[in-house]
Amino acid sequence: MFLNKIIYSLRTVLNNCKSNLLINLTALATITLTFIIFAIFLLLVINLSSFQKHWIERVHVLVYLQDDLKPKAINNLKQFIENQAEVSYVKFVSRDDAMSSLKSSLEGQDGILEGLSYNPLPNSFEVKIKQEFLNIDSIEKFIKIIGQKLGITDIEYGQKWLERFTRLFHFLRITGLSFGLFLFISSLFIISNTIKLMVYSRRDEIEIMKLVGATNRFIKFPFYVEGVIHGLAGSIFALFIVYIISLLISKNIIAGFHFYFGMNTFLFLNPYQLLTVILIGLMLGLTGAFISLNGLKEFKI
Amino acid sequence: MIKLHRVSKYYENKIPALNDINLKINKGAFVFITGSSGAGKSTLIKLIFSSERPNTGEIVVNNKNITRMSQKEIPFFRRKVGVVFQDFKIIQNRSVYKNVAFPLDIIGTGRKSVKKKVWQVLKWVGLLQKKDSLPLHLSGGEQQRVAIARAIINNPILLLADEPTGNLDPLLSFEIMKLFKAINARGTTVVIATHDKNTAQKISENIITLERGKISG
Repeated sequence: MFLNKIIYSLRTVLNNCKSNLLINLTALATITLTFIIFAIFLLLVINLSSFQKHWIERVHVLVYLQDDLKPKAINNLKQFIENQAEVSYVKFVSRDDAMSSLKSSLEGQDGILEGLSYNPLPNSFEVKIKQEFLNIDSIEKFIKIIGQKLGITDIEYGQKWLERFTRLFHFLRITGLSFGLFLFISSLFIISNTIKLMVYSRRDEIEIMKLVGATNRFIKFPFYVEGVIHGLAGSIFALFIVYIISLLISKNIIAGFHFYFGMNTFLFLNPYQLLTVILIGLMLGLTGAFISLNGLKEFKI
Repeated sequence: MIKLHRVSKYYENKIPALNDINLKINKGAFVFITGSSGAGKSTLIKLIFSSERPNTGEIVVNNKNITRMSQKEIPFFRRKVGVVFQDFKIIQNRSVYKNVAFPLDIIGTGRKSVKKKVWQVLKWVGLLQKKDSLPLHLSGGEQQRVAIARAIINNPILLLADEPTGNLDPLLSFEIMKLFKAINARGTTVVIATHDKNTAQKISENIITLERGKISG
């Protein structure tokens, strides 16, 4: 009996979709567009976050030393730095080693250094930070501590880049969140209005259903199914389209990006994130249907 | 079968559509409710069908006090009562078969059983040949027979009709009334609201006359 009711309701949904094809397609297109924009923002945040992590993992803190520092003082400083909790290892790079390293990195362009009569590079420490301290706050705290020591002229770890990047990341998150929220409210409005239109187009049928003893739950069920179909189909179509876009980005753009930033792939959503987006679609459809059906006079006695 | 005790119904204009009505209709009766336009006939039908609630008084149908019935109970009550209207209230874009099968579909009756019952009822009202037709292609009398077939498909204990022949010519009206008599003969209590007192008098002696919301005879 229950199964017969379900079959009947699903047949009703199919008939409704067929007879109101244009309204349904418009709603579906709008929801798909919303989810495309949402998924693109999500991808940007995921990829920037991965890039930030990737970049931070490669961070070395370079501690530049005064030229006249005695070997004993250098050793003391090295020990002091090594004793800090954040530090994984410290490598002393003499000014001569630094020059050889520069020369090897400029292979084929040796002319640049030809006129140089002396070595302008200072002695330095290359400090590798432990994995758990690879974040701006910990690095800044570490720099503040060792910066107070005598014999150190400068400390560098690409902080300007990191700050700019963090700001961009923050901006994208806030923009994505506000824009996403706005789009979701619009989608909710569109789904609920589409369902309202369906209810109005079937007003006579609903009246007759009530006359012959249909429960409100039975009458409303197909509309909830329609809402869920809108939400699910919209989110799945959007994910498919964004997947194609991400493949194109991976093939055509990442190659150039890799050269500068060392990123190998453009990440797509993982299965958990995909499921979350689809579930958001489902919830959006259900909520839209609930908003439209709640309080309609068609469902009073 | 139906008992009304001091029932009154007011609409927004505060003029009572029904005023302190007391009424008893026995099981298996064939009753006409007559009266001029605005006398309260349709309101009375709506109250018995629980499509509206009275402002005061109690209504008991088949030993159930429907004035105290919760909203959730109403659909289950309506499955035991058939209703027929002047404007037929059938779905125009569905075939005769689907219209008649509608009450069975909503309670989840199996396909085979639906088919058997619909065929029986359509045969009984003389519309089996037109089972695949759309209501638009039927005459007024045929459309009303579709509505009647739908109203009796669940074997209701009570059949209510509000001006069922209002849109039909005298000959068709007579045919429809014959159908109601046959339904009554099968044991269903039939209550028909009509403004046509003459036709009512020809068919039944059981006539309730309403005048300005009160029973006058």
